[in-house]
Amino acid sequence: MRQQDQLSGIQVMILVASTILGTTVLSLPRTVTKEAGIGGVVATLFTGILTFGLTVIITLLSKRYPNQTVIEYSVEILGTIPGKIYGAIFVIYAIFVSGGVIRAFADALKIHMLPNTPLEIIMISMLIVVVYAAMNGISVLAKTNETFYPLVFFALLLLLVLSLPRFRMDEFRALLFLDLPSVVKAIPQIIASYLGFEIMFFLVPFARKPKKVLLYSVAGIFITSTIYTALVVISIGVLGLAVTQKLVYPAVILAKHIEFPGSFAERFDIFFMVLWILAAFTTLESYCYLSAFSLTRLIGLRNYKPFIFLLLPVIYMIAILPQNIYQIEMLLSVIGLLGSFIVFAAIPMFFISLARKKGERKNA
Amino acid sequence: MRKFLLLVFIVPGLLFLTSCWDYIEIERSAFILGIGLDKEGDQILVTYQIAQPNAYGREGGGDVEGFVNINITAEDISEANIKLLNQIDLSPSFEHCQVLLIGEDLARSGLKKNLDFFIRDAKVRKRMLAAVVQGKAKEVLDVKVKTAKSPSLYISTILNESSRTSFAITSFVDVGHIFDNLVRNSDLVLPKIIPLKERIVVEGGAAFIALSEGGMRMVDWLSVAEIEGIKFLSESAISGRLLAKLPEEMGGNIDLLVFNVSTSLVPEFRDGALIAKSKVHLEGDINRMERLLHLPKNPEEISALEKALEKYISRRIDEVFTKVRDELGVEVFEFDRKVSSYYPKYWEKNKDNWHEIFKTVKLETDVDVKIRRVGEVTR
Repeated sequence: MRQQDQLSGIQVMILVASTILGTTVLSLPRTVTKEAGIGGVVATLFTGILTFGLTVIITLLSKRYPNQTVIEYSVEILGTIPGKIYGAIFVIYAIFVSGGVIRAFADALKIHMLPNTPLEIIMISMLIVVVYAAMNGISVLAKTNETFYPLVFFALLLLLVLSLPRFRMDEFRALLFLDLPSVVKAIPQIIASYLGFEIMFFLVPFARKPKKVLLYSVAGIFITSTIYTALVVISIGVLGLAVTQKLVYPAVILAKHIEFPGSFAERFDIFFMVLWILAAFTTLESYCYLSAFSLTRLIGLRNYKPFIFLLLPVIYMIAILPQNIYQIEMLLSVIGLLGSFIVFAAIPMFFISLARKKGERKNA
Repeated sequence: MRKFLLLVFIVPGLLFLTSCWDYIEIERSAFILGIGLDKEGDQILVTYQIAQPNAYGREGGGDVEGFVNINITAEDISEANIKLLNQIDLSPSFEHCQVLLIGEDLARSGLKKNLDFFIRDAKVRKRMLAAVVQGKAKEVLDVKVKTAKSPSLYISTILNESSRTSFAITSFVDVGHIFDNLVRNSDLVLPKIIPLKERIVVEGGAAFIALSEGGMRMVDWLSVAEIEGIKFLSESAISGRLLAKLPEEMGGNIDLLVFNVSTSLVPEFRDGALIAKSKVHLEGDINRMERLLHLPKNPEEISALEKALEKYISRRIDEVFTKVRDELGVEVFEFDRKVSSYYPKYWEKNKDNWHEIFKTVKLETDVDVKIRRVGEVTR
């Protein structure tokens, strides 16, 4: 690896955190409470703990192959054909996420900020910027994330803090009568909002200190699950459970409810949306990079740059294909399923790899 | 070479200098400050109050009136919004709309189809305030108030500020709040507005019942005293001035400056019956008494005064609870929210006939008043 491509610990943490934090944050309180009701608060926390565990496994697995990414070591663990199939699923997944995210991004932006701009223009201009950033490799990726993430974090924090005056505890008493099965049932859907930590499959070879990667990646998950849980709690407390379940983008409505102290600015939502664009950008950037990068590795090549341009039309096609909000939801749920498969597959892979190494030692 | 240079200058120009192509100058947009809805036969009369930006400038603001009203009769609000485009030379913007005023006739005949726009449209702020007008909403928007640029701003200031200090105004209700109540299918109170010649009075309220088929319908007006009781009951009590009527020997009518108020309304099951337990705790300073320089002489008299005030407040609460429960048949204390969070399973089973259940609910009050100071006179 070249020297300049190495990532510091903080960069690893931020890459994980900001890849997770993307377009879904706007609708998160709804997706969480739709199934589980008030139990969504607990479900968010549980899913956070679950992703915590999965990240640990993924990182440990990757650390066993410090010079390879998942595309290569999956072949080593599972054998040539299953390994290649796994790699192909990963590539398809990354492409689908890129498409889904850009569509969700453009739709939300069109409703709230750019009603007169054609969807295509929003998507294409965003894609051009993303491709430009992704072309320059992982270190640029890390640096843009490092620059933007604090801003996004600040915006979310401000959203949460400024909402506090209208916060009401009323609805949370129902947590005492929690219906655990419905909480567990909601987890598969919530996990889609937490996807993004699978970037850890790729980061170990680039890390400056691979030994400390585990700590930083887990810290990234910790930050995100804290924000997510707080966002769900606050939007239930401010908007009420029934309304949160009914809104397409509860986080935006939450922002619209905010009155700045002294009311010198009436429209906090605009400020919030602008910084949210950065969150969408970092997520997109990561997935665009991952899709081209993993495809290159899958074929066995090194230079991924041409592939970004090859994938661009595919991503755009996926984004433009859904005709209405329900088809977008379908696309997102397909992405959720693919993603869950990929991250949960890390568990058997980890144990197979453990068994392999032990077996080899015994033979020797 | 020259062609190339030309291209170098033109292409970036085309690409980068287009950002404001659909920008609307601030003077060219019609900022709608308030919307009034009235019933007119089978149709509705929508009054749009549009700000005159010239009146808000630092110079020359004096003579220019702050607003223009446009009245449009239409099938519903959506049709009116479209008709509005044909009637003004500016581009309408709902983003700064302050108040939604509903005429009494329309409120009594039920609000169903005209609310969706305010909830669904992303351009309408959910913090827009709502109120019911005694008479026509149009009349309120036509009042020429002296101390504000437009009646809409006047009302929104009163609702925002005075609802925090006056027991006569309902705690303010915005569109988001209405949305919440519509989704939960629960009853609510909107503030009442009375138009006068050069003033607008905001006091009392209008009780709405949630309709089982969606929407809501006004049932009756609530007096100032009733709003007082509701404020103590529904956990929206505030620090402010409370006028209490006490017997002559206690000092007559007392103007009490109330602070450190804490209220709670808790549902409880006792012998299978649902009981609403209302607890009010407040501290107060005496601002004024009817009897000149009358003062409690010793600790016993102070506590007798406190007892009298406690009785007064709990009677207020009792009266409004009984009236709302028995005469109006609505439940405006957000008690359903309490039941659903204290007894979720019971609520799931019984939420559809909540109105019947509420008729059997009994009230228990527990009021605790502490008088801390008596003003600048002493015995």
